[in-house]
Amino acid sequence: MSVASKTGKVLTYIAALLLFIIYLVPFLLILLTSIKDETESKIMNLSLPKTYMFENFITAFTQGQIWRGFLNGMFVSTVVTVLTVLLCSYSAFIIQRNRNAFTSFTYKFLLTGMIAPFSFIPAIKLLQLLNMGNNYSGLIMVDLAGQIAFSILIYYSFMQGIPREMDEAAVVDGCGPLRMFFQVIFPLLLPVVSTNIVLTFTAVWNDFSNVLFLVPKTSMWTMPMGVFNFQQLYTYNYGLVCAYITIALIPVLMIYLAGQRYIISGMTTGAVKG
Amino acid sequence: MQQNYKKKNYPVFYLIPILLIFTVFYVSPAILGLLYSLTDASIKSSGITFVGLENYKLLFSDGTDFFVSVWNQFKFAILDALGKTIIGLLAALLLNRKFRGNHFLRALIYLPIMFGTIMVAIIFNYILSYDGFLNGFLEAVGLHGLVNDWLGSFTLAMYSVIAVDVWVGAGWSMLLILAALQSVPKEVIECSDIDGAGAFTKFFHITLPYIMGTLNLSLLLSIISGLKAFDIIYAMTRGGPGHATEVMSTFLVKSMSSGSIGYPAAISVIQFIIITVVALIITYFTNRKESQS
Repeated sequence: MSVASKTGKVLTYIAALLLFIIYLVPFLLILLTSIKDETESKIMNLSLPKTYMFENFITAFTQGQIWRGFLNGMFVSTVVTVLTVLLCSYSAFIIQRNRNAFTSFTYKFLLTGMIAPFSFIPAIKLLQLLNMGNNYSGLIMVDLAGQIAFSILIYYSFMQGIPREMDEAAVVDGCGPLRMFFQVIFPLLLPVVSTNIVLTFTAVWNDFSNVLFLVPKTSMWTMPMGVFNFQQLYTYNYGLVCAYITIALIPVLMIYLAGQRYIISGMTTGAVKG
Repeated sequence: MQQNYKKKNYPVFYLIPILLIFTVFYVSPAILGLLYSLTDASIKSSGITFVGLENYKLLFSDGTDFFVSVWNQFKFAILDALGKTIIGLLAALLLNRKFRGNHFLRALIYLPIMFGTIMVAIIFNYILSYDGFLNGFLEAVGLHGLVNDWLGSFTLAMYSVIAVDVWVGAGWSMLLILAALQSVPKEVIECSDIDGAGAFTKFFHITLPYIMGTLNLSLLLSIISGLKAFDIIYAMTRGGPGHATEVMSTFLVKSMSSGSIGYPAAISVIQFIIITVVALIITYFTNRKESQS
């Protein structure tokens, strides 16, 4: 091996190590602080705890109403995800297969959601007028509406690769439009459906502003919002807050590990075609 | 025949639900905002009177606070987009090489995007506060001169928040650029090796032209998202100290404390117009670039 390529290799590893540290240290810090007691957690550093306070996790569970945040988040994210997948996959199918003036307009109209920002303040008033301000229905519908543009885009571009002969065969076999879609076409969409599920679920789970503005009761807040609230109550017990943060990160970490390749493919389609 | 076949098997009336939901829950708030902005509507009273452009007059004569927030929003968007794209490019160039731990590092850099802005904001509040981790680290290695109140200083707060947002979002640019790097034909690189091209010549004359479109895309899409940025700023500084990190949405939230609906609605209309116009111009240019290549 030449000297130049050897230096190149060393530099590669140094750069990689640097990036690794920059991205790992914040998480390591939270993890280490989460098992420290109140006094020790005040000095935020990467040293190992002198006394291990695993009780922080138990306290976070019992005082932080973590279960409520978890269940609230699961409920809202699941409902929005299911509705998004069903509504957007079928609508994109109609738009892609039946091109005419009306469907072209619909496509362009829905894609404006990628550009135009959402107006929160009037939305608060709108949900009050529709009597949807005090329950989850308002949040769910707004979240769903916010997912439409991107979802339509990824389904539309994926469907271009599915031959129309599939539809025709189903029609010849006597399928109605809904059955044709859900029995024949939908199973072929699995990769893009997976992408849609992972991205929608995490977007709704992590959502900040919709929950902040449209859900007045903190008891109805989702998990990350619960951490935000909890952090303000226990500002000085860093160890406890870090335990809460650690718990709240676990569900997303699991989704990420399971669905990583769908995330990457979806994000690339969205950026290039958008 | 063809028309009937389409009508029967792809009935357009199935598009009614999506159109209805999108119109009511995404489009109508913007229209409602426009209507409210012309009234004196408030949370406290149910009466409503038409006041014409009073709210807009108030907004533009209310001192310079709103203009500061618009200026900050653009500053945030541009520096944020540059940061994400440059760091993303460097990370992508690194990850395009073969080394052990490559895939783990790639997954790690993308991780903050998954964790979402609130969690990241809370974590970095601990790192950047005056008695936080960063200052402790700087003291420990003897760099006392660099100790700062990263989020409390009028001059630094904005750059601190931008740095955190770059840390979060660089993984997105990285993946995009990495995909472009992998589409550079191997033969071209091999040819240049035979011709004896150095690393810099190779990068500037071969790689860069190939990925230029992607770099532009990353930059422009990041500018659009930066113009809408609110979560990370609100969760870290709430627009403070003073108006140092005030952007359009944090200004909007503050204006709601009076109980008025008309005035905040006027702000959201102006915000809507600014973002939409800039985003449309940007989209127009990216589409034209793509059709050229």
